[in-house]
Amino acid sequence: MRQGSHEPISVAFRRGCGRAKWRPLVAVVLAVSTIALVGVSSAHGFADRFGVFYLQEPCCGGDPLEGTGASIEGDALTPDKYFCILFRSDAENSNGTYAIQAGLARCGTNGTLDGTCSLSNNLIKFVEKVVASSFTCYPHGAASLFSEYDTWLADGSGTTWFAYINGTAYESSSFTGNLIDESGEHTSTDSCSGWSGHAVFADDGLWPWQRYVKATRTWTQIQASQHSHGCWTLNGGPPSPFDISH
Amino acid sequence: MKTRKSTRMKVMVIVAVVGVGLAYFSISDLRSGSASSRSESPNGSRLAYTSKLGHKPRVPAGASISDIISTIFGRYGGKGVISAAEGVPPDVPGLRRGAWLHFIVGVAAKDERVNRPEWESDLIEGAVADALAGSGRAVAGSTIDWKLPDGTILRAMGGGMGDILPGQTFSSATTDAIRAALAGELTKLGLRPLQIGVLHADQPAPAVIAETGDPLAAAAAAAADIRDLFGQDPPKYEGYYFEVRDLSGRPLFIQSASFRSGAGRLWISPTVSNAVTLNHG
Repeated sequence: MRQGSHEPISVAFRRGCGRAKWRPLVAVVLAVSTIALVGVSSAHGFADRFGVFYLQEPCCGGDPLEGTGASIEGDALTPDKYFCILFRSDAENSNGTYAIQAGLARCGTNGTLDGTCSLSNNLIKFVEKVVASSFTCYPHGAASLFSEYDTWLADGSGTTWFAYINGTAYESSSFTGNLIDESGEHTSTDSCSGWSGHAVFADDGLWPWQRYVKATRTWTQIQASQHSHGCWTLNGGPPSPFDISH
Repeated sequence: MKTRKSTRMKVMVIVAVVGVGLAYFSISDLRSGSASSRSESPNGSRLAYTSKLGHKPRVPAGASISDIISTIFGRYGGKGVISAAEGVPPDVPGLRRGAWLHFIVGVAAKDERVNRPEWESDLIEGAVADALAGSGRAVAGSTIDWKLPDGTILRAMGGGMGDILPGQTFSSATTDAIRAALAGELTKLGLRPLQIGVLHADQPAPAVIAETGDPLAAAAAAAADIRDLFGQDPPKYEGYYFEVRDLSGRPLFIQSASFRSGAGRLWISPTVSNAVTLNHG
């Protein structure tokens, strides 16, 4: 879960999001913005523990953000002893008190995620929900490095978000979404050393990073986003695949 | 699970056939599988927290699911779950096959106090899942409604089900032995026991509330203390609830686990969030 609030996405991003005719403009804006954003990640409310590509309302020509999905391939998750590394799709409400995530996680030998996810330094698929600031994790089986997993979250009806991994529906959570992201996280609040991780997102012709609009039941490939690197190194970005590594 | 190489080959074939329109699909497309290049093995990658398998659930042979739920609900010993029954799964594509459970739990407010009754429902769900596994059935998920003190019902506030192997064997120590062991361990850790209860959805699951005069130190020691009290790899019990309060009675952190359902819960007070050694995403 992120910490703090986020600045609104620029007009240029709003116009360009999801529309092919704006791609050249978006590419220029993205290149320029990348330089600016990399230096001010803390102003966007993400702690150093996160490496994140995100969209926050208002954006995307006024479309609501009602789903996010991409393929995730974890190539390295080497946490330090007490903490965990996660690569996931994530959706949150406006202040992060409600959220749902789906992805890959591995904790150090003395760490766990919420008490039941990755207790033995094992790599797992997981869904985590945040409801009224309480976290709940559900493990969904062993995962493998260098394998791609399709993770997506969608507000399918009302305000109920469902988490999917490889087409299987798992947990749900009810909230009004405001932000979607594809991200890496190291769960320590204060350490950028002693751990490593690498994942490739959206490197699959079927599963580029997409967002969902419930009213039209459409998934749209994301053309540009904001990002915050924290302790992580970000390479690439929408509409192309991207790497999050440390 | 497919490897990256095989997935890529499949993707290339699919893209060649159907063109570039696959950036757009609806959730309903998932029902036919047309939008997914991968699928989940129903049982192949389920997890166990212990290598000790073979535990036999304490339910009558051949019992119906309603009888199983009734038996476990009747014996579990907690006060947080108001009702437990077979429920109706949500109408979404892609759900796993299996029974759906519905719980109503009593909550004092929409705050950290939801964790205790929800943990109790996690224990019941896990025990039901194990009992159903004996007849080749599974629990696909659950819905937890919250009932507030004024009678208001908040629908679908929680629920879920991990992919967990049935038959895990945990401690079967007596309630008195568990209480004595935990009380002694808490004292060694510098924590004062306030409540030590033991629930019995199947095997014993302790619920511990303790007090500290040094919140930051207790937060920093939280992960190590939980390992000492309840074990980690493997866990000692089929579940636990651990809440630490300051001297004024305010909760500092709560972590609970249900190792038959896979549900792990965590709440951390903002006053110790920078010191606590417990992880969430």
